[in-house]
Amino acid sequence: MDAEPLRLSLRCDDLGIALSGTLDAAPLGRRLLPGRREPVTLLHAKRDGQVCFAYADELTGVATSGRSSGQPGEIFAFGGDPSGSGDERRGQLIFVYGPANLFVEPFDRGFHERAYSRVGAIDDVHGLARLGERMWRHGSQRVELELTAT
Amino acid sequence: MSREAVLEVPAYGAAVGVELLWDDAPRTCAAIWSALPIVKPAFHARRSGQELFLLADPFDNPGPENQRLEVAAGDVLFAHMPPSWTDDHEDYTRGELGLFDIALIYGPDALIRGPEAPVAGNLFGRVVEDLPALAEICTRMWLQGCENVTLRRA
Repeated sequence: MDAEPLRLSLRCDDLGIALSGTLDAAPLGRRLLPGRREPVTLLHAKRDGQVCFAYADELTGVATSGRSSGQPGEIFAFGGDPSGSGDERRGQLIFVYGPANLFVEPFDRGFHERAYSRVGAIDDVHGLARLGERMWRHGSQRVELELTAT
Repeated sequence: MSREAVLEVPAYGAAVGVELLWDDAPRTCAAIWSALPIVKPAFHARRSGQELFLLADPFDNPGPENQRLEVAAGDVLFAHMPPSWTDDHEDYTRGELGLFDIALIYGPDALIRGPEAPVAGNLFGRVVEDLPALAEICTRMWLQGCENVTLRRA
C-alpha cells in the first residue's frame, strides 16, 4: 500500500511566518511519520543558493536521486554525505525558496552537481521566499516543525 | 608606514589582519588601498561556500590581475561584476558601474560563484595568522546574520 502524503507545517514565531505544505511519504520510505512536532533549526545553505534546510536524522542514509536544482517552494530530501564529517553526514530536509539554486558537492572536491529527491512542496511560495531572504540576512531560525496525516 | 589592512567587526569586538599582496596584484592593492576605509555589511555566501563578502562602493576598477578561479582558505579577492550581470541581490543597486565584490575565503569548501558559473577574482590579499578568527567570524555570521564590517588601513 502506498504511504499517504503528510501535511507539513513550519512556524517561525520570531519572524511571524507560518507555512504549510505537503510531503510525499513514499520516497521517504516512511522515515518521517505523522505526529512529529518539535522545534528544529532552519539553516541557510552555503553552496546551493536560495535554499534553506533542517537536519532530519531520520533521513540519514536514505538514498536520494533526481534533480540538482528546484523550483521555488519545492522540498527535497538528502540522505547526508557519508564521506563527509560531523553534520555533513546527517540527513536533511531542503527547502528551495528562490530560483537561483543549484545543488553542488563541497567545492574542495571540484565543482560537481549533486542530486536530491523531490519529496514535496510548500503551498505559500512567497512566504517561503520571505523566510529564506530573512534568514540569509538575519541567520538561522528556530521553527516549529509539525507533520500530520492527511 | 605599514601597508597592510585590517578587517574589523565592531559588533563582535573582532579584528583580523589582511596581508596585501602588493607584488602580485599591485593595481588591485592600490585601488583597494585608495578606497579604504570601506564600511559595509558583510554577508555569508549562499552559493560560494566558505566565503564572506562585502560589496564596496565603486572605486577605480583595476581590471583582471593575479586572477584565481580556485581559491584557498585565507585568500582575499576582488571581483568586479558588470552591470549586465544578473544576480539575486534584489536590494542592491548596481548602477552603471556594476558590483565591487570583496571576498574573504575562510575554508577549503569555497568557490566564488555567480548565479550561472564560477567567477575568477583578483587575489590581492591573505589572512594568515588570524585565519581561525576569520573562520569564527564567518561561521557566526552564517548562524546569526550579517554585520557591518570595516576594512581599513592597518
